[in-house]
Amino acid sequence: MDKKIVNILLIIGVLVMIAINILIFINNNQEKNVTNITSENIFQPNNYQMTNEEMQNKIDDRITNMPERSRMQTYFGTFINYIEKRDYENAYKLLNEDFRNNYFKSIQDFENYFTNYPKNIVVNYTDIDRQGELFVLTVEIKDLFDNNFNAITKRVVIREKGVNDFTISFQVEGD
Amino acid sequence: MNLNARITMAIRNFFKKYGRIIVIAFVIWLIIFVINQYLKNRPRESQLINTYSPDNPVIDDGGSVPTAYRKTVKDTIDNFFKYCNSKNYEQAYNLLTEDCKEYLYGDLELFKEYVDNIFTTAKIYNLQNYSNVDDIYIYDIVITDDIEVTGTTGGYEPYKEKIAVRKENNSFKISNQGFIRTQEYNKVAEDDYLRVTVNSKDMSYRKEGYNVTITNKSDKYIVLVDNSVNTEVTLNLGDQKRKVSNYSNATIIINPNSTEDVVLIFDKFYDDGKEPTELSLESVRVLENYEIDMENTSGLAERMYSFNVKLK
Repeated sequence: MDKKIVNILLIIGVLVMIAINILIFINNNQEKNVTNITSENIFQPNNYQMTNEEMQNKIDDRITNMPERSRMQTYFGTFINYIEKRDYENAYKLLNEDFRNNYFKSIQDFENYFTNYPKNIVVNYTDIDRQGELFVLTVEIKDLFDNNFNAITKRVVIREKGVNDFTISFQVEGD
Repeated sequence: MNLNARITMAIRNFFKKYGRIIVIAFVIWLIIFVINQYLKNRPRESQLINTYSPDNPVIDDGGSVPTAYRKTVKDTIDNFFKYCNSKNYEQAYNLLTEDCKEYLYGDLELFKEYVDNIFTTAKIYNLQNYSNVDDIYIYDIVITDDIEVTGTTGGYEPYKEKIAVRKENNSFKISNQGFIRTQEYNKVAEDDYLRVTVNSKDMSYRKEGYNVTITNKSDKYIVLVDNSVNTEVTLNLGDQKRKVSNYSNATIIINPNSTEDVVLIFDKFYDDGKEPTELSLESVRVLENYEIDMENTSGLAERMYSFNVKLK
């Protein structure tokens, strides 16, 4: 009787170990297949505490698997996310250098430009055009809660230099 | 036997009986674990999905630009663009083929006008190989303001045209604004009334213009085009005939014993693979007298017939 119990316990132990490994293996592969994501869930870590490197790898993986249109929208999403959070320094760093020197010589100039932008931004992507290695997006910026806010329409030029490595310029004044 | 001894014995027996299986299971587990760790930590290849392929022709019937020429062809276009951008007219003009200079510009002054019209500010360009036929490499070139620097502030109006590159006297030269090349013909056909010489044709990407000299050898009036009949001038492409496109509001009437030079334009894509076989004057009308705005020339003609010039 005792012998049987010990045998069963040991076999269960071995099976549990195998099951755990199979589970880890499957989970790992499933993560790679997830492509339909928003900029929010890319850039906000969930309860699991990832290292910066793990986080970066995860973002890069997801961006790599995206088609061009989604990548461009994600890049602009990153930029507008900084603007929304009033993190002008990081948004400023994303600007094309010549564009920056042309229109926003200091972060203060850049910050002043966005004074009238809503606190809760909604972006509609209305058009995308490709000019060689540059993408020209037409976006409509609205206030999530204020229907009276006059939507701002802008063209945005993005150059993708690598995975999640890009520069942005945008239409400073209306046509 | 006490309990401890019985447990020890049971474990010993268990391992004696299942030891091999456990070792095999452990090895399998270890292999899965190692593979798992490898997949998790392997170096990531960041190959972005990219639809931009400037060297792959949009129309691929004629194949790609040979790899050996690709860089030189692009450098030629790049030099031309840079010269235009910096208003270095003469050097840009020198990169044009002789027939392009003659057909589009005639002299440097007209070329300057073209450059000044397009290159109003510093521009950038991008290329897409479009089609390659008979060692002529045709590209779409899109010219815009430097939108990375302006962010499209001040407008966004890309200018697009077709540009062709081919070898002329052992160096690559350009024909732009959709013009491809001129082909000499010198094909002659003659009868009692007419002598028609097809001297040459100027080919753009979308059309062909035949330079034709028509002599009326008779003392009668000859009406070739007055839009009073359905088909007056056609180009035979083997499987179909195309009507002349530039005489829908004009006439071709040759006075007695006189000669006219005309240009007959037909819609035809340069890379459609069709070879014109015949230029046809479908309704040659011979009249004793002719007055401007005369109607029913077919009914009044003393003779009406078709006249063909073989092009092959």
